[in-house]
Amino acid sequence: MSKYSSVLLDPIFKNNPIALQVLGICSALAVTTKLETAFTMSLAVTLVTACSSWAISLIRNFIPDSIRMIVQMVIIASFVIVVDQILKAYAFEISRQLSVFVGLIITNCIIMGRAEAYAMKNPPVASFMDGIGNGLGYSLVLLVIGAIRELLGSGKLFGMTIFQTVNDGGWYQPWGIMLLAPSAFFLIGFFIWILRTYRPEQIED
Amino acid sequence: MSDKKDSIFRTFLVAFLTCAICSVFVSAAAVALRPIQQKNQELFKNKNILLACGLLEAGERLSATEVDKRLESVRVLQIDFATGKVVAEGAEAMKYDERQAAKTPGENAEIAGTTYPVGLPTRGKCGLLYVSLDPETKQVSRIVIPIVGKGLWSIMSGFLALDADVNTIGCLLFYEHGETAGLGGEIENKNWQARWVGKKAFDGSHPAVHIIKGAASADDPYAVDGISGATLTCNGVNATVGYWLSQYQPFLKKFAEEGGNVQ
Repeated sequence: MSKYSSVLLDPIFKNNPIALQVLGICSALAVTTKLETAFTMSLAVTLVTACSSWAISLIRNFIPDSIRMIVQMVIIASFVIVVDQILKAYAFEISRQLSVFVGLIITNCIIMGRAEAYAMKNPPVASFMDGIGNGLGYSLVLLVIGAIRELLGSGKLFGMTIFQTVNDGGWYQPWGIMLLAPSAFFLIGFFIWILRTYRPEQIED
Repeated sequence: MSDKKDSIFRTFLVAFLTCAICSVFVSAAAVALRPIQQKNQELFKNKNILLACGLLEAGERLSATEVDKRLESVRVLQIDFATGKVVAEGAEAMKYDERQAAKTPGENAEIAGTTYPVGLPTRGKCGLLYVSLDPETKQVSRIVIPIVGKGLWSIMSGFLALDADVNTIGCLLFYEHGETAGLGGEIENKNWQARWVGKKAFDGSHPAVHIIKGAASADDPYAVDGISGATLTCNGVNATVGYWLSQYQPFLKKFAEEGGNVQ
């Protein structure tokens, strides 16, 4: 197990897919207005990254170079459709809120990136761990951003009122921009800034 | 080894096997989960009926049994479009499947040559209608008609609710569509849907309510704000609303004349 721990844990802070590799930004903006959707999306992406990395690694020695990316895409797309179907069956309301973004997991660069960079060269179990790790790295950013945006934007966490808003007769004046996409850009920027203050080796020249 | 791996035969073989295995995997998941998904869809539709009837607040969460309980104060009627008469009601009417009937020869009628290009070839001979009663006074509070029609890309399904005067719009909503998210998909936007409330459906004899381009004047009882970037979807909504209002009109007329007594 210990030989996998660095594969699993590195992507969380040391090599975070959003903060360092700057992949998967699109969905990080779109689904983080609420923790509930951010959480579901994190789970879905982690599952898809792990399973598709595992499957691609399993057949990596058989994939001809000329159709390598197409084969990866087919496998990734299949897992995404399955996840979408599962969400529609067991989390219908959330899947409606996530709408197109579940389908767009297919184009999430993290998954394709891990398939190309890791799964094509490493054995299945390690690739699976790498997928989970990168999924967790993505989830960390999503959950942090989602928590800040939901708390400051609507005074809630997971739909439960923390700050009573003025509209509901409380004291908190919601910070409207937090519910709009630009706020996620600022927050991801701050996240990267803080991370690189503690880990100066991540600073690019 | 690497030569062999990249041969044309191997390339085709790998491509074929990947596709075959993935398609089995995907279809298995879709087929296995369909019953649960259909149940969700049904529940979601029922919630939208409650929403249209004004028996459910937007954003309120209800369990399946609570939804069924609230549906008890909604009367379901099956009416014949040609005569405007009630054919069945209650559990008997609920057995009627409009989508299935539209596809069954003998039970359907062609939609052609109408002034409303609703984009569908046929419809069922009968249609469903939901009448919600005020829990206390037992008076009719809303009459909900299902509407379905083609937008830009997709079939849009929704409900149009009229108040007891059978003219004022109480609610319009779409619960199923595949229009472009952010443009035509805005027909799902609550703020836009709210702009229909209070408008008049008929100008005496014909369906008159429609979406115009740009902002509608508050004094105009028949015009609703357009959605920018969604002209073709809005055309579809206009045709859909107009068509179904015209189809239900014979029934609604009788309903109004008889003072809300439906037999």
